[in-house]
Amino acid sequence: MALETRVALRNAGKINPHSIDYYIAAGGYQALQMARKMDKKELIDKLEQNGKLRGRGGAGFNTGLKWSGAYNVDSEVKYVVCNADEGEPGTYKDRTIMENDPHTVLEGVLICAYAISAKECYIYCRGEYENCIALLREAIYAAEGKGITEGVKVWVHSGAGSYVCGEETALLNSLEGKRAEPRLKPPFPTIAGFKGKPTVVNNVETFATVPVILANGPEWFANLGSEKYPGTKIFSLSGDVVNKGCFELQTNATLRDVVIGCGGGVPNGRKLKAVQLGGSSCGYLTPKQLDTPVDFESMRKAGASLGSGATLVIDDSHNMLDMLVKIADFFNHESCGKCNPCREGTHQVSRIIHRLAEGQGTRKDMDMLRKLSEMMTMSCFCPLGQGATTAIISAMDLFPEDFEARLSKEEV
Amino acid sequence: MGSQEKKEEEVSMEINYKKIIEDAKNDGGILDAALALQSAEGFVSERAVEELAENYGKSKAEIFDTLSFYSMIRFDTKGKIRIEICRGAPCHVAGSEAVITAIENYIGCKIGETSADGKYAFTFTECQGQCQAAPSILINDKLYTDVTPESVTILLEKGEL
Repeated sequence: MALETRVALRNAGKINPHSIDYYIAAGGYQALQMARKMDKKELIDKLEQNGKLRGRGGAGFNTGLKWSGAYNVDSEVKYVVCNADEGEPGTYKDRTIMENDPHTVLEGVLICAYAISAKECYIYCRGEYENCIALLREAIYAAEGKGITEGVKVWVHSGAGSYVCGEETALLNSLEGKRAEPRLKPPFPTIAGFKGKPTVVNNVETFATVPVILANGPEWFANLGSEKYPGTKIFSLSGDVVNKGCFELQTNATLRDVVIGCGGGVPNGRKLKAVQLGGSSCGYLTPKQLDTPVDFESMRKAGASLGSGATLVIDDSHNMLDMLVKIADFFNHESCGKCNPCREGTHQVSRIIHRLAEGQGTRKDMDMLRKLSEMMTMSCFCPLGQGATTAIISAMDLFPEDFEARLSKEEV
Repeated sequence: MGSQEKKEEEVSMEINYKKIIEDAKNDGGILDAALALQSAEGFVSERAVEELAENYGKSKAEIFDTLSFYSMIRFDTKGKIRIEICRGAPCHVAGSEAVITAIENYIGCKIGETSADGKYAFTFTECQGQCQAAPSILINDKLYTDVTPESVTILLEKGEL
């Protein structure tokens, strides 16, 4: 019944995050040394073919394939960027990694820098995580002091409050000192990223996993969890659940393992109503779906998504509309304004949801929400707008009674 | 002795824009510099924008264009005590609505407003990533987690912020 398998969180709570010596004593930086003795192509192939590591930020792209993209481009200058702009509501896994074990992130970044021959690396950390920024900088100085970086320069740049920076091209614009508006893809960052040069952008959890894959062998990793999305995934639990915290499970675990097994279920004798997996840009799952495996493909089949692994547990005391008000306002505020469908769409969605939640809404409003959602999913420039209405439509499908109960009395 | 102390105080009051920007640039980028200037001055002043423009070889408009995008950057000082509450869905599920009502009742204005005496400014902020201890609020940038209507009222009554 041991539910957790800690890979990215292997050192969490066990070592002093301020001390590089503790990290080294726990086997740290050995994977980097191993990597540096390997042929670069072979190293990337191992990750891509044998380890099958897929990005832990939410999109689930094969990490090795991304690295080989940048590796194959002929360019003097290349960059590695770590996406530590964890802004998806309910997600705090990257913070947990960085707070507990900043060196593992740095080691992953340095392995990538070696693999693609980058000399400069950036960790872009959201501004709210001042503590993590300080810890990462301290870790970098310590590693430089011991000669571990071998001349590769790593900087930590702070964000300043912008959710869209989680989108990799918006992040790159922010890193270049501009407004964080997403760029048109292609070209993908592996071809033309930071300052137009080939750039690998990976999530904190992905980088934290890389050293373990090399140390234990890619085959070991590929045998963990599910076949197509092997390894482990961190879930950050919040809401109406007994144990709130981060849990790392093999990807063949079920939602039940996460919410009941690790989370301890719903407190105060209430009943489970829904689970929102992946954050505010993702849909809801009902108690009937608790036995769905958490891996990427299974979740997609179930009409939900793994996303960042944020797990918001909701009990039966809530009307979903009250929560949707917060979600709609969130996207309205965070829309960067670059494209009209998102800028105007999120604004209208927010107005309609407010109206419905306040008992002034009609069935026409609900139809309009579906039309808006369809329009935004098709035409928004980046995933922010495309996913801004996912939770709303999911709630309308799964909990129509919550909407019915609030419809304007004059209309019904 | 007394006069020397006063002198030191005056010196520390004066903001060394160039040094703050250079120090921030060693470790990070333009947002690090802007946040450092903001924490020294309480907000990003026109002078700070000018200094950033000079240092980065850009126009003031370009600097403002960038900085105005980010919600942590302030160009004015609203309220002596800035209260920000997380708008995230996890904080909502954990009962942020009751905390909002408690704060509104205590400071005498609605969320999004500044109290009539100018003492309090109350706004939403985006997810703080502290969802294991929701609801979370920031008072003058200091984080408080697991907040309840009772605990926030006591906090504001004490006034030791």
